[in-house]
Amino acid sequence: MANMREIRSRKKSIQDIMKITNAMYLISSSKLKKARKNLLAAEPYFEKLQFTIHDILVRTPHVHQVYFQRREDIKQEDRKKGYIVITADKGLAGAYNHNVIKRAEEEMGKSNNNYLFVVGQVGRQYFKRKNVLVDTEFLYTAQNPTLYRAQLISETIINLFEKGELDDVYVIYTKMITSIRAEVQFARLLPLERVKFERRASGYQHARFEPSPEEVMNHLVPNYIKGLLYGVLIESFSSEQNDRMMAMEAATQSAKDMLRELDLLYNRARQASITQEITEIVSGARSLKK
Amino acid sequence: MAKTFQLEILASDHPFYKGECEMLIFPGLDGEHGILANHESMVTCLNAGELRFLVDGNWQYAAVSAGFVEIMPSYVVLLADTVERPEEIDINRANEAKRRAQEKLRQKQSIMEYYHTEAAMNRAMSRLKVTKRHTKA
Repeated sequence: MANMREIRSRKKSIQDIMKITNAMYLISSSKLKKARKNLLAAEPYFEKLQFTIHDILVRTPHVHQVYFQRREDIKQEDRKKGYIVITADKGLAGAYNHNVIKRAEEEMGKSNNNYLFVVGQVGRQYFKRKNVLVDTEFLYTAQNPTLYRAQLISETIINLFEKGELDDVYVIYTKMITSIRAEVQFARLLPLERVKFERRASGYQHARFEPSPEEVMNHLVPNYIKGLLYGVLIESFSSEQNDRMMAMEAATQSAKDMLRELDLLYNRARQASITQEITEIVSGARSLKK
Repeated sequence: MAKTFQLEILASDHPFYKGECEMLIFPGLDGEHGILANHESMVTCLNAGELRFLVDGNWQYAAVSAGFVEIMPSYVVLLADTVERPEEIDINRANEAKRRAQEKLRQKQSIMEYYHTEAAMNRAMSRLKVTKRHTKA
């Protein structure tokens, strides 16, 4: 049986860690409240944006426009693929970072020309350790996403795409499905795909584009990508907070369980030592009597 | 009662308006566009400026920034980065933003920075314009 001093110091260290996990739980739950509010405010826009773009793409006549270039002449293995990976700035968020990174690696395994654009410190450090090429000037935090940051990111990406330094652009992020379930999402940003078959089937008419389809797309696509990235950042940020909250709640709970067990052990050790002392005293007194 | 169409205005940070509307006037790339019910289907972009829409005979005003509009015969969807009512706009902030942009425009900048500043300037100007016109000082 472990001695009392050992158990006591172990209890102390668990209690100290529990204080930290509990504080982190409280912090992330208050951050989550804020992030959830932002998410609720931005979600209608985000969803309508995707829906409307889909609707517009169905009605778009064929245009020779840079955002639609699929560059099919480039062979599959030579295509330069860009991935925007959204991770957290800090760890201790359960499997949040792990899931995103795992998905990113899975996708990266499919081709050789990968360009990574990582949002968040954890992902950046991870890929750096693995000696994967990461765009070093792409430094954005995952905290409190703003439309302005989404704009900077989308400008960088669109610029690279226009120059032909990227042929496909994907985004990997986490979406909160319910408050207890988050899922990693993988979506293509560029090039855009016109939906041909659906249109033929349902007899959609082409819409008029004012002043011209090219001009409209020149404005619309950057705007769409900005809005999409904003939505993606907000989704990820709130699922990060949610995951961290749950991880810390679980950690606090298991600290409590451990403490309960150690309490039992400690009491047993204390009783044993008292019993032993009494036995010693009694036997000592008896030997004196003789 | 004039003919109406379903209008939905969404800003990136909140849904702004959803409901019937008789007429919508928004700032396009090449000047203002006016939309009535049964308009031909059209897709176009939005510039920073003043937005007006007629509901039950009353004009409502808002300042918008960049975005786009999808117009269908029976409904219109307008998506913009920001949409604000005149009374929501902080005049001091807009003035400050305008002054900052003016100062920046005097400095040497890269083309990208120049576009950013110009857009910021436009936003500030349109906010000021909308508040000046539609709030009673």
